[in-house]
This record gives sequence, C-alpha cells and structure tokens, in this order.
Amino acid sequence: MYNTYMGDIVANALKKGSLEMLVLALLEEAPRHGYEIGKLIEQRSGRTLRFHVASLYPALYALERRGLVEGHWGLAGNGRKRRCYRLTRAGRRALADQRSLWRTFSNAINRIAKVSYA
Amino acid sequence: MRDFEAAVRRTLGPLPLPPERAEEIILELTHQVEDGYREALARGVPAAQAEAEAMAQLGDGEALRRSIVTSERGEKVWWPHPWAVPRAVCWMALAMVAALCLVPGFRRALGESTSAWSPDRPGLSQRTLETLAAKGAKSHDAHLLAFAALHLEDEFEASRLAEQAITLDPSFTWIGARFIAGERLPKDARVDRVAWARRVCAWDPENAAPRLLAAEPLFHSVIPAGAQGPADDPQIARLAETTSWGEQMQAAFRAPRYDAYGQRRFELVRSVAGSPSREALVWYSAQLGPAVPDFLQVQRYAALVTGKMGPEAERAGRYEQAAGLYWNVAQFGARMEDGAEWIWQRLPARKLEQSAYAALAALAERRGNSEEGAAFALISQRLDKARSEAAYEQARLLRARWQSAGSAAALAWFAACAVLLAALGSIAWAVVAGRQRGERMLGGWRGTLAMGTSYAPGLLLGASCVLYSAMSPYLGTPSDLLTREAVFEEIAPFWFSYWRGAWNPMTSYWDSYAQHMFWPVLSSVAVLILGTALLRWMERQRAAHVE
Repeated sequence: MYNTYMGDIVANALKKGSLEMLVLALLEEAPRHGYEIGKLIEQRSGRTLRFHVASLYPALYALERRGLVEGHWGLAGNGRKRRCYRLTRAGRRALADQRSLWRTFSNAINRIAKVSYA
Repeated sequence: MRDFEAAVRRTLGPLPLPPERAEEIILELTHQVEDGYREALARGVPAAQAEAEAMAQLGDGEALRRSIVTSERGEKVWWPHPWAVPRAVCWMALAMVAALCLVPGFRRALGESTSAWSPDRPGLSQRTLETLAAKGAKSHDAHLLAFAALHLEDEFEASRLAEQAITLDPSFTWIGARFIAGERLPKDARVDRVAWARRVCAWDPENAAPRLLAAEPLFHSVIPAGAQGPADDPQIARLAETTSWGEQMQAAFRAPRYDAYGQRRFELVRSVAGSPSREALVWYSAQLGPAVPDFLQVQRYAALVTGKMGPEAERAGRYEQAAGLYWNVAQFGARMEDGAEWIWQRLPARKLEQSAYAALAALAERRGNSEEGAAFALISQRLDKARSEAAYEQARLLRARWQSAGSAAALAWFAACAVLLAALGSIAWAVVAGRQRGERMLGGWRGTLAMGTSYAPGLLLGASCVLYSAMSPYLGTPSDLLTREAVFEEIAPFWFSYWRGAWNPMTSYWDSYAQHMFWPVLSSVAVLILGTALLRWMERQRAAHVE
C-alpha cells in the first residue's frame, strides 16, 4: 500500500514536471493542436504517459502566456478548424535548456539508482 | 451529435477572463471533446457511451476552471468557496449595520450590550460623585451638590455638601433626612443627627416622615434593625414609657402628611441624570433611599397603640381616649398610604388602617354601639380584602413583567454575544476576503476561514436587529419616566434580569463566576486564535525558506 502510494506520488511529480518539455518537444517537430499533442504523448510513450485535459490545456496556456508557444486558429489535417500551437524562438531556447537539465538530472539519478538499459 | 459546446460551457461555468479569450478556450475544449467523441465512435463504442467518454476528458469542471484561469493569469486565483456569501451581500449587510448605528437607540443598545458581562454594576462610583460635587461647588449648582450629598458614602463630607446645597437653595433641606436616619448607612460621629432632625422637622413641620426618622435612633437602641417581636413586646412599652420615643412617635402619627421625599429624590436624580449616558444614576437612586422611615418601627408602635395602650385605656374606662388612639393609627395608615411611593409601602399602610378599624369596631361593639361597630368592621374587612386583592394583583403583574422581561433579557444577552462574535468575524472577513481585489487564491485554512467569516456580516446584521428589538422597549431615557415606580415596573425587571442573568439556571454562579470569567475566556480564545495563526505563518515561512 505504502509503495503504491509513494509510487503514484513520484510518478505524478515526474509527469507534471516533464509535461512542459514534452509539449515543447512535440511542437518543435510541427505545429499541433491540443488533442493531437495529448494523443502523441500517449502513443509515443507506449501509453505510459497520459495527460488529462485539466493538465494539458492549462500547461499550453501557461506556455503561451510565457511566450514559449504561439497559438493560432488554423485548419487541421481533417479540414476542421483547430487552434494550433507552434514553438517560438524563446520556446526553442527553453526546450534546449530543459533537455539539458533533464539529461543532467536523469544521468544523476541513473548513476545513483544504478539504472541500466538492457 | 450532442451539442458539446453547450456541455463544455455548463461544465466550466463562467470563466473570469476577457470574453474573447474565454470563448476561444471554450471552443478549443469543445473541439477536444468532439475529437474524443469521434475517436470513440470509430472504435465502435455506442454513441451514448462515446459521449460520456468524451465529456469525461474534462474531469472535474471546477478543477479545470481553476487551473485554466490560474494558467492564464500566471498567479494563484482566489476562488470563493461555493458556500461563501457573495462579497457584495456582505458589504451590503455591513452598510446596513452602519446605517443602523445612526439610530440613537441602537447606539445605546450597543453601548449597554456589554454591561451584562461587566462585574461592575451600573451605578455611581464615589469618584464620580466627588467629581459631580466639585463641579457643583464650582458652578454653584445646588442640584449637583444635593445629589452628591445624598449618595456620597463619606457622611461627613456629604453633610458638608448638603449644607452648601441648602445655602444655595433652601428647598433642598429635605436632604438632611439622610443624616437623621443613621442606622442603614455608615455612621460618622462628627455629623450632628439631632441638629439635622430639628432642622428638617422645623422646615417641614407637618410631615410625619422626618419625625419617624428622628425617632429611629431611640427605637434601634432597643430593637435591632429588622427584628420582629410580639405586639405586646414589653421592651417597646418600656421604651415608650421611659424615653421620648413614644412622644416622638405620637407626634409623627398625628402629623397631617407623610412624605419620605421619594419623588423629590427622584426628580433630583432626573435633573442630574438628564442625558441617556448617565442613566445608570437612575438605577442607583431609584432604589430605596436612606431617608425612608423604617416601617418596622411604625408597625411596632401601631401594635403598641392598638394592642396595649388602647386596651388599657378601655379597661380604665377611658373609651374616648382609646377611640382617639385607634383613630389616630387609622388616619396615619391612610396618610402613609397616600404618601407611599409604591404598592409595597401602601400595603402595610393599609394593614395599619385595617387593624385600627378592627379595634374601633370591637370598641364600638363593647360599648353597645352595634351599628357603628358594624360599619367599622365593614371598613376593616373591605380594607383587608382590597389589600389582599391588590397584593395578589401586584404579585401577578410583577411576576408577568419579570418573566417577559427575563425572556427579553435572555434574547438580548445572546444577541449581544452574537453581535460581538459577528463583529470580530466581520473584521476577519474584511481583512481576509473583503478587501481582495479581483481574484486571488486563498487556499487551505485561509480559504475555509474566508468562507466561514463571509457569514459574519449577515449574522452581525441579524444579531444587531434582534439586539435592538429586544432592548428598545427598555431604553427609555430618564426624562421619559415620571416616577420611581415607573422605573421599577417598566424597565428595571429587564435590566436587573439582563445584568444578573435571572433567566439563567446558574444564576447563583453567574455573579460570582461566569460573569467575571467572560472577558478572560474571550481574551484567551482570541490569543489562541492569533497564536495559532502566527505559528502557522511561521511554519510556512520556515518551509519556504527550507525549499
């Protein structure tokens, strides 16, 4: 019970902390709308990561307010009107910083926890 | 397909954002839901279930709304608790309380609202009296000097002030009655009681009251104050025979008028306590003053006359003398009844009359004058019956007055407590939430506190109205009341119940304990709350520093 509970807390904290970087990384590839971002995170993480609307959209709005992404109305692949987001220059810099930070952080954790990849 | 836009609007509720931005967000989330719905349908999920799945993406609408607005604004947002009273309503309630404060009666009710918790009873402090006396001496105000002379505990100083008052206005000579009756106040050997007795009796020669007071020292030299005794008490007879007491009492019983100066005293108090803020003076002086003759002495002398002196005269064949003695008692009883200030003085006076008429009836019967005897007996019976009925009626009225006043006092007491607590709550609300501009987050205990205190302004308004309604019938100014009896019957039951907690089942403990503990307990609770808040704040500061 304790392990499950602590595991949830750690997982949630990791998810929450990494959401911003994940969104920025996906937008680096191409402008995308919210639904698409959510689906891509889910697919590419092998369904390990799933973000609720209540997390994803507020994160997008916060990034937009901070000038890291830019929202605009456009047409999606299926021809329907969607609000899409694209990375700004500041967003690219922020993504680079976050990647570097993540790399440092995960390496440190791996060294201590002796995590090895098969 | 379901109207998802409407569903999203309902789920989110109003967004405190610029309208265009709010619309944009609603539209974007609608598209999210629609996409989810289509995807579910594509997976072969039935339409109804697909709709439910699509909407479930939004999760808790309130949480979503909070996080969206917080993200948009870049700061935590104050979300009033769903149960909190709207801020506008709170301010309106406080404005109404402020408007109520413009009503003088309400201000007086508020001013009196804490008097029940004060260990000090309303009245006159010696210091106040000294101040009044100094003011009176400076301004040559006989009223102030007379008032201080009547109530000051220092009898010598009081007699000095009385001299000054009488010099300024000889109509205040009646104040000297205070110095004649020395049994019920601390005595001061420097005060010449005999001289004061002569002075007052000379100034008011037709009044029985100062003569009765002058006779009291002799009477109390034999009979302690309040001591009961048989009608044919040999001590009383010996007192009448061996001292001048009998002559003094006889003169008092023959005086054509009985006036214990109650109305004069009350008028004096009214003239001094003219403003509502000094109304407490009325309560003090409305009680039995020191110049009221001791009724025990009157009763014992009347018993001596009707039980010993009259029958002895009858046995000696001096029927006219016996009849004169009885008649004198009956007349004195009638005069005392006329001059009495209230029922509790009138009833014993009537008892004197009744016993004297009974003695006259017996005398007439013994002398064979049956018609006269029957007439006197009838008068005696009627007086007795009237006395019983009046006593019963008075007791009934008094009980009813005290019961209703007691209920009103209990209501006022609880309303006063509620006003106090609600006022504190309103201040807390104004500090925590009332002054918040726009939307700022108040989480945790502060949010809960803000929600709780939002009820305080409404409670303050309600409690204020109840307090005013309960107290207003009893907030008459001294000038509204013409007699001491009016004071005692109309407003005293309420105030005595209010101050003494007569409605309280723990009355005996009230004066000695609860009343004195109220403020200490309240202060302790306030310190506890403030201390807890301070500790919480320090803990947060420490935690923030550690992070």
